[in-house]
Amino acid sequence: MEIFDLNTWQVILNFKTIFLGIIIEALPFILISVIVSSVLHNFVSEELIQRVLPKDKMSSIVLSCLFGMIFPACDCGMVPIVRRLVKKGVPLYCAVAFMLSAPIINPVVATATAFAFNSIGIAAARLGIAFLIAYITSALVSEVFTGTELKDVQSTHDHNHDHDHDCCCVCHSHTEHKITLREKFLNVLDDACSEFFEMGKYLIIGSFLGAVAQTFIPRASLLTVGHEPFLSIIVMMFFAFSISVCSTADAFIASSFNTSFTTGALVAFMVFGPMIDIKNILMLSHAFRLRFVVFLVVIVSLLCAMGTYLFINI
Amino acid sequence: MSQLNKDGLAKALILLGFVLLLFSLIITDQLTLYVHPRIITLIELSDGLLFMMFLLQCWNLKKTWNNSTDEPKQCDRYWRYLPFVFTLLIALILPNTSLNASLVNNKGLNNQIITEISKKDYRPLAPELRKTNLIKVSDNNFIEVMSELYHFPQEYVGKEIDMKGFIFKDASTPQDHFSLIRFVVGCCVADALPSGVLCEINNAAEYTNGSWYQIQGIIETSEHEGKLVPVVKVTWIKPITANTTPYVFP
Repeated sequence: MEIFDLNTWQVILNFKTIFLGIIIEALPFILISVIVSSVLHNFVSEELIQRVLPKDKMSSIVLSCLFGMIFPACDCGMVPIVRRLVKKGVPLYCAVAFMLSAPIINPVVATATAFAFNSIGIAAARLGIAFLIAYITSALVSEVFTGTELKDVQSTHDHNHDHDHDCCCVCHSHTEHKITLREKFLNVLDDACSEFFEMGKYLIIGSFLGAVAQTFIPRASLLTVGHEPFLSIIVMMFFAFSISVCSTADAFIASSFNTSFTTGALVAFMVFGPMIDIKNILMLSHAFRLRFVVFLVVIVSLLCAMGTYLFINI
Repeated sequence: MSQLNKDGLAKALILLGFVLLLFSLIITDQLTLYVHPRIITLIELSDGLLFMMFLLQCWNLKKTWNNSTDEPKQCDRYWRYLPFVFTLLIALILPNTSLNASLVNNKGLNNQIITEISKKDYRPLAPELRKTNLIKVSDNNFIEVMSELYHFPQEYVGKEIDMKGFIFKDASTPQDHFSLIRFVVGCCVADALPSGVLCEINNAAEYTNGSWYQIQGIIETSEHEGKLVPVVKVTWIKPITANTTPYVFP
């Protein structure tokens, strides 16, 4: 320990604690996500999904936006599920609506926000603005993109190949011969495992960057712009993007800035963070085409900045 | 010729590493250094799931060992496992510790922090605190007591307080003062917020940042940047070992 002075050593230890903290906290959620994705893959047919979805585009978007109410998901684990849904033939705009809204529009986050600020108003503003952003973004996505926007078929092929390689006798012709429930269960676990390794690395890289931001960006430097109405929103959105905290806990962080930032900036922080952060962007750009990811980030950022700016000026 | 499936082996080893990492944190009760206790059950389940994945990988390995048909994988794909290996190495090499005082600077000790969490007319502890002359601050009532002290410091002037925490001083701390701090963790350590009170003591310079103390003192108030804030005039102080759960969990 002689090579470091005490302070450097303490900073390194803090970095480790935060880095592992984010990973350990996100681990259950990414595992749930890959299991759900894998169960969808093995047990739910495309036809079933087609039957369940409303035919009307706008009502299916609204439905997807509110789906989080019964399926509360953490933003750490959205991407594997969303990718699977799109592969299963769910329209891209529905998947986007679900991805953007589920981490915010759910009972757990609503309660946490109301508790952190002790104000129903702030919680309502957060959920309302999140709903508007998710709705408008999905509507735009449905106009602009017609395909799945998934990365080329190569990667799915690759994935299957990998799978075959891992266990050479469980072949992918599920439909051709009758497979037992036990085999299906093993398939679920095996697919989940492959996807865990596929997505886990982005989660780790994201947690690393988040921990760097936490350890090295002094928060006092944010405070200087706290009361500039528009700049403070931008700064808080950037801050939310970089620190990668869970959507159930970010309300507590936001409330700690209560005295030094405008309400608009705090709502922007709580709406933008769960929708777009470092971890998600890395996983998204692994699963989807770059042009789609860029489109999504730009639209969500603009809507979030505008929405919260209007919110404080009404 | 039978050929060990290197890709599968890497996966199995990494899974084993994560299973052991989580398992050791669970049995040594160190998970609360990283996450809120309410997540612990989820982590235990995750550990079980990872263990099942590990068993499956081993089983697959055994199968490919017996009837190997595939060629060795191209090496350029091994970088994929680097992040996992890196995580395990970091976890292994560096000791498990709680967040320490050097982070307080970075997070910014904003004593208004906790106060804003609870609204001013929500005061569950007020009747009880008004009656007593010695306010004992515990892990359970920490947030509520801090909230009371910062919103209504004048109501508590003259009362005695007993609390634990670690020392924090920086350039802005007045002479003969230190702050006694706890980290409040809402979900995982990434959202930890430092919170505590300013204490007045003659030989403040002798106390080093980050060491844990239990103090007793009299609550007073002082004017700080135009606001009335509570200050504890320390009457008794004792060094203690850090709590086993060093954070306050709301």
